[in-house]
Amino acid sequence: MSRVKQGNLPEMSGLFERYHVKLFNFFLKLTHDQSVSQDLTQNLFYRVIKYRQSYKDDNSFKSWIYQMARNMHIDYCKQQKRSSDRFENVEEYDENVIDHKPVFEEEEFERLDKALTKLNPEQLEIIVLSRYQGLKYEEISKIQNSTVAAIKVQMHRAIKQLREIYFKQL
Amino acid sequence: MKCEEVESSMLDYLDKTLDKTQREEIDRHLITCERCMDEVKEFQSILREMDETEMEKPDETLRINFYHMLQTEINKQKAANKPLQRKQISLWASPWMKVAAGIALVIAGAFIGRIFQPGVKTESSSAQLGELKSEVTEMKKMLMFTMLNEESPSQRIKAVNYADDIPNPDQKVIGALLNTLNKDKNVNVRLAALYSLAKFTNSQQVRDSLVKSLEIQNEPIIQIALMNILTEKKEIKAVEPMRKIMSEKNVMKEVKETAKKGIEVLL
Repeated sequence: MSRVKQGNLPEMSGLFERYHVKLFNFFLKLTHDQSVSQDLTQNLFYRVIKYRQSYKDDNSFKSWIYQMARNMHIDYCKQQKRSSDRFENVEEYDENVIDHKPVFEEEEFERLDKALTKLNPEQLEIIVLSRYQGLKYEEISKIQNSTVAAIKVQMHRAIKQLREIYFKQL
Repeated sequence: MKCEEVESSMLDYLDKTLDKTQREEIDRHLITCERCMDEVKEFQSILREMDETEMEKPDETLRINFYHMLQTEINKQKAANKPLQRKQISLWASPWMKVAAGIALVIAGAFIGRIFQPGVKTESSSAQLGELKSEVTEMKKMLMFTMLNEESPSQRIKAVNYADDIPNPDQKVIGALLNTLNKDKNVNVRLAALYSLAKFTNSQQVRDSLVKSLEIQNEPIIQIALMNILTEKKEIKAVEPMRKIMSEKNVMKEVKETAKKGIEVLL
């Protein structure tokens, strides 16, 4: 990324190839919407290019891009909230999304996904970052401006909550 | 050890990041405490399911749009870096701009001539406009062919991007793009050519050429992009070269995985 910042833009393609699928899945787990996730990923890389000068060389690119991704998702949620305040159909919408899942998908995955939608956004985010994206607690603490210890506690609570929801569904 | 202590280190226990003594302590507790044992099992099954979840693949347009955006940004950067005066001089100093200026003059000349020709009825303006448009397309084509021979890769990328402005490109344009995809020495230029070609994959001929190209490409990024495009287009002929890629020794793991997935989708 430092090289990109110094003006070597073609190097950006390597970063794109390395991260775009992961980040697309990050958005997908949070939003449950293919086309929204596609747009968010697109915009994310646009921002990376546009704001390349604000990248600090001593930071890791990974935490920088995840930080940006996270902020974009938060903005997206605010936007959604504004429109859902108008329509008040959030619940219904969530159910629809689950129904649209392809039928061949195994039931358990579906149930887990459903349980995940019942977590609060912070808990969902931390689970996605840690388990689905495979980030280390240290990396997450950098992204969220927190400490490793605090992240561990939050993570523990989130999984515990998820477990309760998941096994209560049975 | 108390149940609460076990619970609070459950994640580390399952992720196997605890040291030996802590681990053994929990093991001992679990033998005697059924409640904690159940909890461990439940945690474990959730975590395993998460680990087994496969990543979904975004639509290929994401990649295409990204490379377009990147190219636009590179062009912008190029333009900004040149001081204004130097830019003007160099613009006219480059041979293809002279060619373009020449063509433009001829076109303008023809039109002015027509307007002032006595006795000839003026054609409708829309026909003239259409003609002018086709002349511009011709000019872009010519620029593309000329610029593809430029020394600088970014100029060649620009040339490839001209192809996007040519409606219904003919054999010659497609041929030039294919040639660039297969022979250009710079990987970014080859990639740009591929993404321009990706728009014409409704033609069987183009798809066949891409399959052939897949057999000779050895750059991972190009291989992956090619396979993704062909898979998306359900081009069954791509299976053979993909099989070959999978069986080759010196191919990157990611490339082989893309080939494997491609074959799975196509068959």
